[in-house]
Amino acid sequence: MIARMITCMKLVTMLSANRAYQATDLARNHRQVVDAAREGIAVIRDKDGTTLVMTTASHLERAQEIGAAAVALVQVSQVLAEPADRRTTSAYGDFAWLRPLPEDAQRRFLAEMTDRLLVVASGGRLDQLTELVGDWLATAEAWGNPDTREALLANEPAPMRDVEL
Amino acid sequence: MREAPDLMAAVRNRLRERPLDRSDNPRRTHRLRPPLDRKRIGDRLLPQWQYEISAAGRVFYCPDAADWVVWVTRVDLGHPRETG
Repeated sequence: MIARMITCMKLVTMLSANRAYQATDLARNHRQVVDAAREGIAVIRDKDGTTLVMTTASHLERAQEIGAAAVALVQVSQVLAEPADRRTTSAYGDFAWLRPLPEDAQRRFLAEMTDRLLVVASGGRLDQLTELVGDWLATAEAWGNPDTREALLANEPAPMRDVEL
Repeated sequence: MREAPDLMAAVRNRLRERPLDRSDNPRRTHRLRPPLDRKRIGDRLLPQWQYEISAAGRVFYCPDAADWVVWVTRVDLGHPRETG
């Protein structure tokens, strides 16, 4: 619901900056309408005043993914506002894997992801967000295994300089 | 992993030649985040990375850019535990 609203808000912002076509242009000037859609967005006004939008699938997908990420981060933010003993795993939503991490790490995740989302929403590559999520997921996965966690946290006072793979 | 010598050779070459390169498969190379993002090895505090060898296999390593050394800090071949 919120994701849809955010997606719609982004689209509304774009609508105001684009020329509006009439429904009849789909027949008369279809190439012009399609070209406008390929370049970003084509706004079409139907006879009853309804505003329609034509755009590329990748454009819409990107807006939806940004919206979904924003919603997921709002969920994490709400969870972290609760005392730790009142948090449930399901309340973390898409980022349920975050829960085993220490409190400081969870808050840092939220801060880093929010910054990255703003960069992506302002035109950055979407995979910048995916990359950061992957880094945190790998961290949570390693943290969740006590043996791995212990090994990764331990200091190595004397590296074995003669050993080579 | 003795059954997969080609795979291990590929991992070895990757860590030797381009330990920080995510370009070919960004979903398999990760820089760990706090509190696992750094590890002290000798007198150096180094960043800690992970490479996914397979669906279940993980290699953890610390690249030392100053000395051109990659320290392998842990190899997990089993399936990671659930974190959720």
